[in-house]
Amino acid sequence: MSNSIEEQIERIRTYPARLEAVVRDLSEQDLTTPYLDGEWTVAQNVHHVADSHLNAYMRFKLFLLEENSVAKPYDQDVWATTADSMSPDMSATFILLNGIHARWVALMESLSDEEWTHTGGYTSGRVITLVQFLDVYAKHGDDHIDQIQRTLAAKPDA
Amino acid sequence: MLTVDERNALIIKMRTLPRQLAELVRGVPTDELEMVYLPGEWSIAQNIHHVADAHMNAFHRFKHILLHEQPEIRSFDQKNWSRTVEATLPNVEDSLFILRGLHNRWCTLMDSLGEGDWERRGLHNQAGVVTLEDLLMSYARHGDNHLEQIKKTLDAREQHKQSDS
Repeated sequence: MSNSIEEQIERIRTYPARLEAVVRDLSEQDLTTPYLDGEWTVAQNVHHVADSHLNAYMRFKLFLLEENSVAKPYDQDVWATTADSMSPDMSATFILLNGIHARWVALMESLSDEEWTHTGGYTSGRVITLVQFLDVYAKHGDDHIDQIQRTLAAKPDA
Repeated sequence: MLTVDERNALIIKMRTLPRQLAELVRGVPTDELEMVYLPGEWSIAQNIHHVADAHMNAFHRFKHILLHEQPEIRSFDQKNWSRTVEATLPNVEDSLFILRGLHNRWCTLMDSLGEGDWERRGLHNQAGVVTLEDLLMSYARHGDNHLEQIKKTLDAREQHKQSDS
């Protein structure tokens, strides 16, 4: 049983605040130490979500406004290694994420039932509707909160 | 190629753009932000939403070109993008937030680049070969153009008020 569009929009709307609550009081060391071997730091997870949801908002507009739009893939592991994606300073990323989610929600709330059935594709050939796209990113955000919590749980006892 | 000083001056332009935009529209009532004072042109709000959309796209392209080998990059239909609901809302706070956060991260990224990185190139579907330096020049200019456009719109708003009184 999948969530309704309204429920998924609500997850997107509340997401920046929920993410911020998880990382707000962390030390710089907790933000920048990969406590899980081979996985990202907490900071990388947060910056990645902003990169990814910026991209998602743009793809969403392309899927809505173009016929047969195809999303361009990118290597998220490489993207997470640049200076802006490693910084312990979360403030710019949260300002950005808040702004993106607010505009994205305003756009989604304006769509008709028919517009939600608009589709876009991936280079793999997979085609999805905007409803399915919303499901992907509502889950994507929450998955990264889980991953951050697992990362912090792996911190060695002081 | 730009000199290091010329390039740094453009990065400073990028760093200050969000604040300049915010200062231009501070105190302007929201119902005036969505007014079309120049016939056939965008409202002030549409200008700001458009800069946010365009610079999100540009940051994304910038990372693509930096991190992938000569990626293809595409233009987007900015007229269409400026017609959706969230791109016409009178409230510009969220777009100003996007620009503040985005330009801060973009400048952090640009400050970290090595000299050779600026020559990295992508292939644009209309403009052809585009280097990171080209992108920096284009978007510093793009920001300036929209500051100008908003100033012109604010001037037209003044004239509109005077002719009303």
